[in-house]
Amino acid sequence: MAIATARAADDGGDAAAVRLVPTHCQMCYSHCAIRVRVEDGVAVKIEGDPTNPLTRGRLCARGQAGLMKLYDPYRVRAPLIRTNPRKGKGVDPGWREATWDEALALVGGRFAAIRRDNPHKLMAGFWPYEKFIVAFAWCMAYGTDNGQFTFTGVSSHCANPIHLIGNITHGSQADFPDLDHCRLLVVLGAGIGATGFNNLVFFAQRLAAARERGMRLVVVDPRLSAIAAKADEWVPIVPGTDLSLLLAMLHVLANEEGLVDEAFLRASSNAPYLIDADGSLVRDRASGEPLVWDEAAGSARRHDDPSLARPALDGRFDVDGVACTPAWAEMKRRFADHPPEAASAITGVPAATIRRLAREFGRTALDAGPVVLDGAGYPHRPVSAVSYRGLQAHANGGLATMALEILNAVVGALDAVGGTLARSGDERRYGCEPPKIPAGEDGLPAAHIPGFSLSEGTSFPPRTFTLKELFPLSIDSGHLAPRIAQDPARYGIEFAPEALLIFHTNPVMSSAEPELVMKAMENLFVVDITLHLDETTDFADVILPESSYLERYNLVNLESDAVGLQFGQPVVGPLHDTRDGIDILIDLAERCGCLTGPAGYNALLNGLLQLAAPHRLDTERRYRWEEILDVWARCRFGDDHGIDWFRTHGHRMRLRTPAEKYRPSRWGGLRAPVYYHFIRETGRELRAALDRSGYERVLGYRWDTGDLAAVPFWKPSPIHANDRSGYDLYCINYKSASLTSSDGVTNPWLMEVAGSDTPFLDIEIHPDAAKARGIRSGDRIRVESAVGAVEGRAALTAGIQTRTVGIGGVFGRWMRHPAAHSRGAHHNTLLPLGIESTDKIGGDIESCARVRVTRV
Amino acid sequence: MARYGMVIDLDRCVGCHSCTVACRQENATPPGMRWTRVVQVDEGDTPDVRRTFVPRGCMHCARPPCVDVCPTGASLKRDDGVVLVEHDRCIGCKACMVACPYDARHFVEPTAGYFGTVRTPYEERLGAARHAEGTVVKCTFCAHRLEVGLQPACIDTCPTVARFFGDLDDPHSEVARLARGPRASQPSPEWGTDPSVYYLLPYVRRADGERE
Repeated sequence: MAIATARAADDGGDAAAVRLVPTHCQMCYSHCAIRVRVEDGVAVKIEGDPTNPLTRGRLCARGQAGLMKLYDPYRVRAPLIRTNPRKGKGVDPGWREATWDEALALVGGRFAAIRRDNPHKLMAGFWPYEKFIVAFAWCMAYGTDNGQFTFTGVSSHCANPIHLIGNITHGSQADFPDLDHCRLLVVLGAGIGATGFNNLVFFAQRLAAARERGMRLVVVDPRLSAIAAKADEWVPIVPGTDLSLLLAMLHVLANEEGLVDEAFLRASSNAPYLIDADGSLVRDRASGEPLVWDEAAGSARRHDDPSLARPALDGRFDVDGVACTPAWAEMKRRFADHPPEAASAITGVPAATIRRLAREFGRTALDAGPVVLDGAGYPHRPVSAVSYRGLQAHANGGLATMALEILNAVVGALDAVGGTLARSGDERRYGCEPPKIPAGEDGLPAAHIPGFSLSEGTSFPPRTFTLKELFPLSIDSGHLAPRIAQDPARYGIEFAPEALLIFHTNPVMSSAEPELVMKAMENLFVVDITLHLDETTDFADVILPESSYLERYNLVNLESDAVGLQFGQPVVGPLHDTRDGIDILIDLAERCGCLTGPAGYNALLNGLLQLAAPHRLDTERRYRWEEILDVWARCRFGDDHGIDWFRTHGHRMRLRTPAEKYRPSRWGGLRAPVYYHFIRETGRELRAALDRSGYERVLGYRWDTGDLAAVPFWKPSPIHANDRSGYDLYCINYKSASLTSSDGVTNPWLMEVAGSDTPFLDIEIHPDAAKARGIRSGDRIRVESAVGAVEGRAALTAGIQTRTVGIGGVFGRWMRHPAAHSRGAHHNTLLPLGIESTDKIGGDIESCARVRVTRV
Repeated sequence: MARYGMVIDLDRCVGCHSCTVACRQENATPPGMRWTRVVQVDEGDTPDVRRTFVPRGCMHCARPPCVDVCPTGASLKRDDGVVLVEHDRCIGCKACMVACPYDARHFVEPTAGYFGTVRTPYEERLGAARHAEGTVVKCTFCAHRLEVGLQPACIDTCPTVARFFGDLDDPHSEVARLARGPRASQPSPEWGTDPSVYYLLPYVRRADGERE
């Protein structure tokens, strides 16, 4: 019987020609474990690896579509060198194929000359997913301060604020809900378990199980996202006003209901730290340690005094003649400035809803009884509030993220069973066992993220084209470089950029104001390590083609809740004359004279990967990436677990134990800040540096450092300004499960899904807003902001906030790829690439635009 | 004899289309043809909008009208309940497509590859030749996987564990148990086809936290 199935004829074939190769996915940054079936040298099927404890063998749509990335006939097949000197949008660069030797000699010669002159004149915009630390080491070895995410910006891709705020709160660069035990989850602008939020498959399984169990799910989002569709309650909100909602919830909990975990605040937070009238910590004269008021002793004591019995959360005290009060008392006063009625006018959420949510959050947390796991007792606070770009990627995203973490903290949910958990820390990336939270000053977690400078080296005039000096707390403000680099003297920078190295990113589409980004590249020597010719490569001088993830090696762990490493290996040999991106960087480092020596690339990798003798890289020789991974694997797991072991087994991953993720063991006696003294201090240091240098005379206006405050307050984004130009709607951008980043558009399977059964390629608008503008479903409409305009097809839906329109994905592409070309609208065209629309804490660009919408 | 069937929990489905793409990858269906897909159904007004994601595909009916109308006997129902098309007997008359009330049958048009005229090694090996032009094709419940003891690809990959597969005739099977549950319903039973795909309807969640 001849049945129309694809495989029946194959399975009786030569078994020796069939291989099942364990590796990892890289269709997003989560790197889920997969197995690839290879028949006679052709990869025919990708499936989840059932041995992985996180995914349990399941895989999302993106992962299922990986073969269309591998076998994309439009991939770059060899190094390319430009022959047409004129650069412009859509202008054919006149590519000619070159050998690797020729291309690398050209790039290496140019980069080496720049390095001898002034290495900061090279900008590097890297977004190689998991390998960013390994790639950053290259920037450090080269010596440029304009590396890392310069020009491309994690600030335009990710939720920067949580990397900082989560880290200083509980040693986590991002946190997530403990879905196995949670009873009430509040999601603010995140697609957890449904679209984009770390590992979709991991969270999807656990979220579905939690909902089955009866966990209540509330989703606050301007748009009825996939996860909002699954919620018990969808709370539509005006974009960028989550901060207001959270402050009002904090007011209800702290002032109206008294629903706070006082025991936690007294013993495990800095809420009782005494502050003076100015807001500064009152310190012990001898040790400099912060003081608290002990109600039992009736006197001030050090926060870490073992005899401390009952730290005060309220009251006014006198310590050595200084009038002071516990920080918590001051915080409560500030929250009182923002009751639900005020928040309702800003957010569009009824005050009664805000009060109900706050009460429910507090009661569910505080009513929970004790819990024992694996024979040990842990704090049990089964509520969690989590966010992603929807809350954070706004000009006030840093303040909103502070308020979010405080909300989790005041009910004791931080690292409690059922609460909001820290991701396994930075060590997960290197496969190390999870340590305790690194201790910083004042009894709080350290404000340090390896590979990044937080609040270090703020001096003027600036040396960075990202003006990072003005954003001392952010991971980066990389999206600003295209603006600053075109006129560095205007910003007091004493040199101009000469070259730009792009690695696995497309800043023309994924940043803002594409015309400005393209113009910035016209006069630079641009080198692009890429799979495809895209909108950015139109401005490149040299293309260095990267192998796809199914042709490369890797070790990685970006999971939320796992220890160990996941391996990546070629499932087929490189199909074309392409190389691993890290091998390309190693070659360029050698040509620039920064591979070897005590400050060379190898030496930096030894430090960043935490390689210990005898498994360290020889700083004087050149390695291939595959060899580095072998040293790394042996260092972490022993000599019997080099990459040959991983070739067969694929991963060495396990879930964290309760002791590794819950309080108190992970905290090691540290307190969590709810009073963000460190942020305030950084703001004061920035103010002093600005005053000393007179930099604001160059800038031309006074730089507002007021956002760097200890207590979050309502601060509108520029998008909330009263508008008199008719930009009467907000436009937001959203992801789908099938497309979460800009390069998905080259995948015909995923684009077919995007273009059918959902309005993902259309522009969503509320029926009321549409009616007022004479727009019917299917009409072609124009969305126009102060800086750009796009057109698309209207999709009317009640699933969007009434004053908001939604544009999905990163569409509206002019790259010459048949799957991508001329489909959908490009949201980022609408965003001003401006300093004032950048979050002063997190560094993220404001990702929502004020627009007017008309029928074409 | 078994009656293979599927239960899809609409309360769990988040509309991620993993099943859609897994099916494409497993069966190398031509561009534009999806043997399983997910549609989005909205009811109600802001903010009380109920959005349901509904995976759609062949129902492998116990009384399949598509089989009844097939003039050549190419469409058949196996003893295990799987409804298939023998492509070498199919003349492409499309009578079955008209008869199927679930829009689950697809005619293989002459089409280009996923990237246009250039065909990938994957397509060369698996693709177009298996779906003969001018014939009707459909979901097979991944019959080739069943033969070697695997479940259909859409079942194995579902990130929310919303899809279940098994023998409806075995009262102890998970699918039989789920199909007996209070939320279970066959799509459009009024058509009298007795589908082997059951949906578990979403809970109605009330503001007080209870669900119905």
